[in-house]
Amino acid sequence: MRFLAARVVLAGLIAMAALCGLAGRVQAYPQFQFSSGTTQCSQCHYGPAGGGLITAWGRSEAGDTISRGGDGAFLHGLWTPPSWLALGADVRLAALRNDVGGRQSPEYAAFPMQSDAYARLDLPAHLSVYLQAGVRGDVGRDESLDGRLSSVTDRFISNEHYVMWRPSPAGPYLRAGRFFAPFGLRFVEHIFYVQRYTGYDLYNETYTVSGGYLSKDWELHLSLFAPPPESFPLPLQSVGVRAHGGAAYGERRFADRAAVALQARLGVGSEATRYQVGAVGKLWVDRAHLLLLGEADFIRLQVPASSAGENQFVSYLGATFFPARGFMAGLAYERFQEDLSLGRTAHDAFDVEASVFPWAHFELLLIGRYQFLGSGATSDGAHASLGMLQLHYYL
Amino acid sequence: MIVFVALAFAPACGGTDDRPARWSFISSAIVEPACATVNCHSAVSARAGIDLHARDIGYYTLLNELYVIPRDPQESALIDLLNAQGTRRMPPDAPLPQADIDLIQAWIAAGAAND
Repeated sequence: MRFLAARVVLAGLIAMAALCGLAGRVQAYPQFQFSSGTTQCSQCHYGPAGGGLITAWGRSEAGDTISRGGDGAFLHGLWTPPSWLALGADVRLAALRNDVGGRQSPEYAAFPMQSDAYARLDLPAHLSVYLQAGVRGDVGRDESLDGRLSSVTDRFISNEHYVMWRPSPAGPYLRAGRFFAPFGLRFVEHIFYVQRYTGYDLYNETYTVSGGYLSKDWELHLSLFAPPPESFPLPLQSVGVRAHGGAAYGERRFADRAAVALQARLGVGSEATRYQVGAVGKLWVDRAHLLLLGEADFIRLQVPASSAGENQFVSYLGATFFPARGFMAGLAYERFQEDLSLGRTAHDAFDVEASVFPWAHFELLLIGRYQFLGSGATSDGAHASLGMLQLHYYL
Repeated sequence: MIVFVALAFAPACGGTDDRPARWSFISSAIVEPACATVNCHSAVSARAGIDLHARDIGYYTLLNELYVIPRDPQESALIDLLNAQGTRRMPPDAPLPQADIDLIQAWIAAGAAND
């Protein structure tokens, strides 16, 4: 027991020691499924549905397949943690140009966008503990707009921490703690409509109990979730729509180059209920070095207090091209239809992304995004454009 | 994949706006998902002192801080912010469709009740 306690204390100290930057979301790159030759998200990530700290396999892939060279191991291979401990960190610096119209547009900003530290400990009986911590990110547009998060210490957050039982890479698992219930495509960027409008926005992680089964050709995840209790301290609080409910995600893979997933989610809040059903598709076209990713969800929003509801639709369709090792470029189209019966409530977005991985641990990312609102009926809709440059380093 | 393409590009219906111009609907369907996000007007961050994460607190914040003047949408700062008229635009990352702004304007014009 003293040995176990020492492990927990050590991991906690390491995680806390890294709380010196700004945090974004836990990382995942669905673009690398199939395209890197790895077919399951859980091969590269400790999380059974992907995201977060990467495994030894993932680190090896990062160095040998994804980047143009280098050693993807922790600390570039200078020091190897003991086998029962895995560590990592993400730092992301960003510069942006944002134009939504109005007096202060376009605006320019440069800011530290993310710093997350991760620790995972193996425990006996196939148990493990996972801790992630960082500081909430902030563009820092205008000090006059400061709210309750006015200092760095206010921004401490741990949006993922859980205990997991997983006896083997394939087979059943159970985990409980704070994390997103598996659902949909889980990109690094939180701005995509399929994340923002389905309960998966930045810092929206719930307390979740999840179980499932992983195999070579299919996986299933069933989850129950609840928002952090309001009595919890600030670092454990979430933002966004607060709801409790359940989610199911089942994925079937074909010939190591395609996958189809079906998913459902129920989110019951004190003021509204959201019923969601959808599908995810992934297809790797080897000859063209092209990965196609798609997600479509129908949402029934019910608001009892006004005896009203609406049917919504949200989708993502993207193509990512891998011209050479270390390069990735993508195009995507997104739609969020607030009310399917009303064309003027459409949100449309076009995205362009280009990433360069010049060396293991480093990524240079350029994002362009153009949104237009209210298409389908009038020409007076607003529009918005975003250009962002990111420098990403993972330890 | 063909199904995804068809769904993603599915043309939206034109339609007339029969959504209720009531705060309970506007708060849940429009304001909370668009404004109470990340580091903006959630309960955690309450940027500029504005907390829009729930119906009641959002309502009283907007009225007490004079962002909404009942029966007078032209004098309501909220409408100026949403339309970027003489000020910054809100939300600063994903503007609202005009149909949503019109619905909020209709709610204010009808008295801006917490209904």
